[in-house]
Amino acid sequence: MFEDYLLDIGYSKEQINIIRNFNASLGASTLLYNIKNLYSFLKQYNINNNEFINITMTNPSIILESIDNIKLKLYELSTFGFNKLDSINILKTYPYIIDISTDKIKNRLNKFIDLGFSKENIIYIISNNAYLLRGDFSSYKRRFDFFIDYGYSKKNTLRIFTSKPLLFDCNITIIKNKMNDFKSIGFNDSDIIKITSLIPNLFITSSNIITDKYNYLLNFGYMDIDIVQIIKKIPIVLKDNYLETINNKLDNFIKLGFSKEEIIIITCNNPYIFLYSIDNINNKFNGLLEYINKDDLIKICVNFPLIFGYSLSNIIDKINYYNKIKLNDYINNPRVLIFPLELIKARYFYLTKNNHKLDNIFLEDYKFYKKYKIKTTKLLDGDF
Amino acid sequence: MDSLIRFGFTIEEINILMDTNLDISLISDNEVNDIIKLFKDNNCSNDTIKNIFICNPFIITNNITDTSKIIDKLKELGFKNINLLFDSNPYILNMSDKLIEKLYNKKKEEGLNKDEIIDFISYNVIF
Repeated sequence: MFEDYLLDIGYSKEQINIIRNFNASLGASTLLYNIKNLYSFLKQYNINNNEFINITMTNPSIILESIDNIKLKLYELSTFGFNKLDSINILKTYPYIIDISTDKIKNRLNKFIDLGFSKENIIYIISNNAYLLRGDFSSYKRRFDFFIDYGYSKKNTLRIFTSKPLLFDCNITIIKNKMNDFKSIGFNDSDIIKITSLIPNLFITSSNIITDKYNYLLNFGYMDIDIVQIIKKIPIVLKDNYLETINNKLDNFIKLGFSKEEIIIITCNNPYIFLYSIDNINNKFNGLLEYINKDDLIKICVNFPLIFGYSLSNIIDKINYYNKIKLNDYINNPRVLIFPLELIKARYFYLTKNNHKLDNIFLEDYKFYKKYKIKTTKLLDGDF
Repeated sequence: MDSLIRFGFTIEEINILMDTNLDISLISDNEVNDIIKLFKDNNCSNDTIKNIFICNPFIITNNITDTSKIIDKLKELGFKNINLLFDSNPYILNMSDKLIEKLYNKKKEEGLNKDEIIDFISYNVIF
C-alpha cells in the first residue's frame, strides 16, 4: 500500500527504497500516514508531484517532521519578511530549511544586512538561494570583499551579488581567471569593472562567451583595439547567444551591399548598430533607397553611420521638403539630412522673401547671423 | 507602453525602441508621460520627441532628473533653441551635464567664442 501510494505520486522504486531506508525507524503505516499528511499539506501550496518528490528526496527527514513544525517554519519565515510564495519557494528549493533554527536564520540575515544589502534584496536573494542561510558565511564575505578590494564600488558589488547570488559560492580563482581573460584581450581593470557591473553573468558563464565574440570579430577583419572599443561602448554584445546576433547583423550588411571594410567603419563609428534589429536597419536603408541611389546611400552610411539611429520619417520629411524647394542636390550630404526642418523652412522663407539665393541655407547659426544679421530666434518667430 | 502608442508611436517603432532598450517594458506610463512632458515643455514637437526617442531609446528609461540637468546646463551655456538642437543632434542627450560643460570649456580654451561653441555643439553630432 505504501509503495503503491508513492508509485502513484511518481516515485521510482529506487527512490521508494531510499525513503524507506532513511525513515527505517518508522513503521510502514506511520510512514505512509506522515507522507500522506505532508503531501496533502504541500498540495495546498500548489506544490506538484515532481516538486514533492524533489523535496522528500533532497531532505528525506522532512517526512519525520510534524505538519505543525513545517507550518511554524513557514510562519517564522514570514516574520522575517518572506511572503507566502517566497517561503514555499525556499522549502521547494532548499528543503533543509526545516532543520535550520530561527536564531540561525535571523543571525545569517543580519550578517547579509551588515554587508550592505537591503532587506528587500536579501529576501530576493534568499528566496531563490536559500542554501546561503547555511554555508560558511566567512567564505561568502571573502568573495564579496574580493570585489571591493578589486575596485568595484560598494553599490556595484551589492548589485552584482543581488543579480548573481551564485557568486557567493564561486571560486575566487575562477573569478580571477575571467578577469584575466578580459585583460588578455586588452581591457584594463576599470573596463572590467564597468563591463561586469553591467553584465555580472559574465562571471558565471564559460570563458568562451568572451573569446568567441572577440575571435569572430577579429576573423571578420576588425582590429583588436576596435573590438575592445565596441565592447566598452556596448558590453551587451558579450551576452549569452549574442554571437549569432552579431553574425546575422554583419551578414545583413553584406546583403545590403556594404563591403566588409565599410561595415567595420560603420560599426566602429556607431557600435549601437549592433543593438538595432535587422528589420530596423533594413527599413531605414530601403526607405532611403527610394530617394537616394544605392552607391550614394552607402557613402552616406559610411561617412555618417549615426544616420541609422535617426527616425526614418523625420529624414524623409526633410528630403520631401528639399525636393519641394528644389534643394534635392544637397540630399547626399548627411549634415543636410539631419538639419532641423523648422529652421530650414524659416530660412527658406526669409531668404526668398529678401531675394537672397538659397546657397547659404545650411550655414551654421552664427555664420548665418554674420552673413544676414538675423538671429535664429527671430527667424523662427518670422520677425523679419 | 500605452502612453507611447497614445503619443503616436507605431508598434513597429516601439519594437525598434525595445530592440535597443528592453527596460522600456519595465517603466510605467506615468514615467513615459513625464519624460514626454519634459521635452514638450522645451518646445520640442511630437516629431522631434519621436526622433529623440528613436535615436536614443535609453532616454526614456534614464533618470528624468539627469535629463533635466542636461537641458538646464544647455540653457545655462546659452542654447536658446533646445528643440532644434535635439532635432538635429539627439545624441547630445547621451552626454551628462558635466561632460557638456567640459566640452564647452575645452572649445573655449581653443579660442572659440560662445556662438561658435554653440554652433559646434549644434551641428556636429558628438557621439
